[in-house]
Amino acid sequence: MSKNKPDSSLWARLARGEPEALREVYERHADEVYRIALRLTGSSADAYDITHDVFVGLPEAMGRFDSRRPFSAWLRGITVRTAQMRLRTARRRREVVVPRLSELAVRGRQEAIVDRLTVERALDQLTPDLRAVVVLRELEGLSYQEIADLLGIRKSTAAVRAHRARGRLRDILRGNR
Amino acid sequence: MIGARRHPSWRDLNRLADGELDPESRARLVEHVADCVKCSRSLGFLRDLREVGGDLRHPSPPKGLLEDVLRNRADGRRLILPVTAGADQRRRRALPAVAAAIVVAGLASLAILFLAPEAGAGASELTFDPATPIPGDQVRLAYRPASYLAGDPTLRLRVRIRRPDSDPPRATLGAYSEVHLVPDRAGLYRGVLPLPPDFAYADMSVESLAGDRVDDHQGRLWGLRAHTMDGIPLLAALRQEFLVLQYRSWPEAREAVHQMTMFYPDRAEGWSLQMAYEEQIQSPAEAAASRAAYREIFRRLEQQGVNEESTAELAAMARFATYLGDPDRASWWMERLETVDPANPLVVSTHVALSGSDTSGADAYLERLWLDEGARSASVYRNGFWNAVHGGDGELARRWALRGIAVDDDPRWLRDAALVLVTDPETRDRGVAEVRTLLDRLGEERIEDRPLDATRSEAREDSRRLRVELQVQLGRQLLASGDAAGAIDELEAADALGTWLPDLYRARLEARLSLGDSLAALPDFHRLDVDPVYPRASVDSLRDRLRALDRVVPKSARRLAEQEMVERVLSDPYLPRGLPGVSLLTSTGQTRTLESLVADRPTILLLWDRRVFGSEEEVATVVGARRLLAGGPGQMLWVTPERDSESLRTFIRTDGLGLSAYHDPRAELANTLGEWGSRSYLVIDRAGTIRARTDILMEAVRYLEVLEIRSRNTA
Repeated sequence: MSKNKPDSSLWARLARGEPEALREVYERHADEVYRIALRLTGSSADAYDITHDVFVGLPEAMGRFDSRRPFSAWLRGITVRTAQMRLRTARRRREVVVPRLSELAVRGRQEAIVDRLTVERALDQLTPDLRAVVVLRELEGLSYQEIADLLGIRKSTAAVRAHRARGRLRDILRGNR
Repeated sequence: MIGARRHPSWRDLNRLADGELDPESRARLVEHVADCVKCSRSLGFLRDLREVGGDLRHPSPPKGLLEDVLRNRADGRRLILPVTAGADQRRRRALPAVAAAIVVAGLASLAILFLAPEAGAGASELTFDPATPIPGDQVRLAYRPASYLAGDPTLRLRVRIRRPDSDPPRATLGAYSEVHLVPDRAGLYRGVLPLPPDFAYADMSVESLAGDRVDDHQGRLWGLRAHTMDGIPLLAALRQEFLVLQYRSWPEAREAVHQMTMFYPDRAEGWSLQMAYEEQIQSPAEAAASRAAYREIFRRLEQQGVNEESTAELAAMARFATYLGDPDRASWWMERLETVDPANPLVVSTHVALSGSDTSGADAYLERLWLDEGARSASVYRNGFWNAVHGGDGELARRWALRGIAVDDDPRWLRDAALVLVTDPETRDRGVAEVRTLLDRLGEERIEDRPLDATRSEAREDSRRLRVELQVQLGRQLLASGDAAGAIDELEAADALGTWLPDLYRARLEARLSLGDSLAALPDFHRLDVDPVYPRASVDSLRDRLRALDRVVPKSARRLAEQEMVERVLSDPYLPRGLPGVSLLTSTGQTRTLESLVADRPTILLLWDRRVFGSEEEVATVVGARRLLAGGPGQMLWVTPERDSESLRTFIRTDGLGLSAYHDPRAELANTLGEWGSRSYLVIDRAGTIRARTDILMEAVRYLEVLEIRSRNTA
């Protein structure tokens, strides 16, 4: 079956909690869910838990899925909100899970500005709201409108948060110099 | 317009990097950046950031994660995810998004709030849209019916709605509402529940229109919380949920409190409740360790400042300090609370408690409050009433009763107040009239008075029992006030309802003796004599008083009394039921079925959590019941939602309970049998059939003994 064209009964079977349907959806979407969770939290343990929770809760959540909308975007929204909740409520143990100095010594660019940035450390100092926007914008490549839809905020708010987050990252970077 | 010489703002550089500038501005800015090292580095940073993002590796989820997911779902684990529907999202987007998600941690105890773990094919289900409603929402309901309700043209959803300041719940309290559900083509029953603007929490069940078949979600009822615009449960919703659940299931109530601390870590209410709960189940060493952590939280809350307009917060701080053993801080917060709300229940009850045996001192304080119109509240007259009752001051009790009776509509309070009024000639008529009103109300079968989990016939039977009890109490009060003839009339009327009640027989016996009619008192003496639970010392004392008459009464009288007892006790209208297939854990972690624990012995199951043993009186009752059963075939087992621990074993040992405790990890047994774990007793006969359930232990013992008597007589 094509990854992008689920058969029409899949959502119904998923909503009923059928394990095979859940397995199928997991195989299609777990990479993205895990990746976003990892980038948002910076912790593979948290990413594991978030991915786990999202898929455990998915069948019951299907009651609120509008099948006219893209499933992956809807699932991405749930993942982001779940991760944000975790960021707000849990004291997390951070790990180095995104590229460090060497990976960021950017591709032969002699004047690379971020060459001393350890992204995990910089991102860790952002609030969950700012971190979410910058991750979705810079690492996931979403538009401000998509981010706004995901987070339930205005497009202009998403842009302002992104500007602030980048400014904060820049300040952190300067402090690291 | 962006000037070429002035440094562009950070915002404009961002807009440039995002490609969101108009061509003219863009051209000017690019021109500037080309000549400006500072801006060039800033823009470089923005571009690097994006390129780095694009190049990041793409980690895959670890192996075994999917299996974890599938296993946990198979085990019944369910979670509520932070889903935001499109329409709601648009509406909410205009508001400040404090937090946009709710994740309910996947504890099994919580899962049963929403979807029973055993729910599989054929199980009923009630879903809400929106799933995280805000007060004032119209909630669309979809009910997949239980097999015994499927096919009905219309079903009725019964709801009890709790508001932010609703009192602790009783089975029949809470604003009652109902919604008719009609099936769609797919067989799902649909309806709409409008939530009031001050909605906090609701309990629900679904039934046939005739009320003869009820789906109470396997005893759990369905719960619905109010949320914020951002999908977070309101603190008031969690508070009301806790108040409801604390009388049903300890683990679930504790989970509601846990969520208060999770969603509202800066509020004292959740922390103080959580600490109070934990203190009850921890060993001294564990409690000492966690107390240090709570002290730190308390300090943080004090430092960050408490909303002094919130009486709930002030009361929570006062309680928190009390639990922490810090009387100075407790007094300080209590004074703050009293300044804001002098008639707050916590303030009033604390004042009364501190008065100790000084009834008049407490009364003077309450009287002052009562004279202040603004402070007149239920907590004032109820405390006034009970303070007088405990102090043995009948006149004072009647004064407070008359004040409360004029404004209160809680049947339990009205009953207590009315019965006190009966004891004095001046207020007797008023008291009797109030009791009659209550008796009439019990006989009316009002749907709003019926518990959500009861069918009409079950409720009718409960009403009958309550009427009998109330009428017996009225008879006893009339007897105490010297109206023996009036007492006999009431007791005869109660007796006609066909329940076995030794208290009734004793009161009627005394009433007849006081009228000099000793011969007529004898049948009641025989009834007390054959009762297996009625204290033997009382029976012996009566025998001495009636010895002369006892000789002239035929020997068959006692046998007739026994026969009547067997008939009346065993006429329990709840149909006998088989044991549910529930597995319980022993203290060594072994799994045992309920059937194997009963093993051909008449058994009383105590479905309790540890809080029920809160008083020495309760412990003494259990010890007394064990004594009555000693030497016979009967046994008593304790089923608790609490897992085995050193603390639990110490508790059993030091209190001399001598019970075997079995852990019911999900309060499954209590829920399956339609009882909520906090206090009830099941009577099971030798054949493994549930014969009765009651909330009075001695009644359960009587039931067990009567079953044995019958089996002996039959043999």
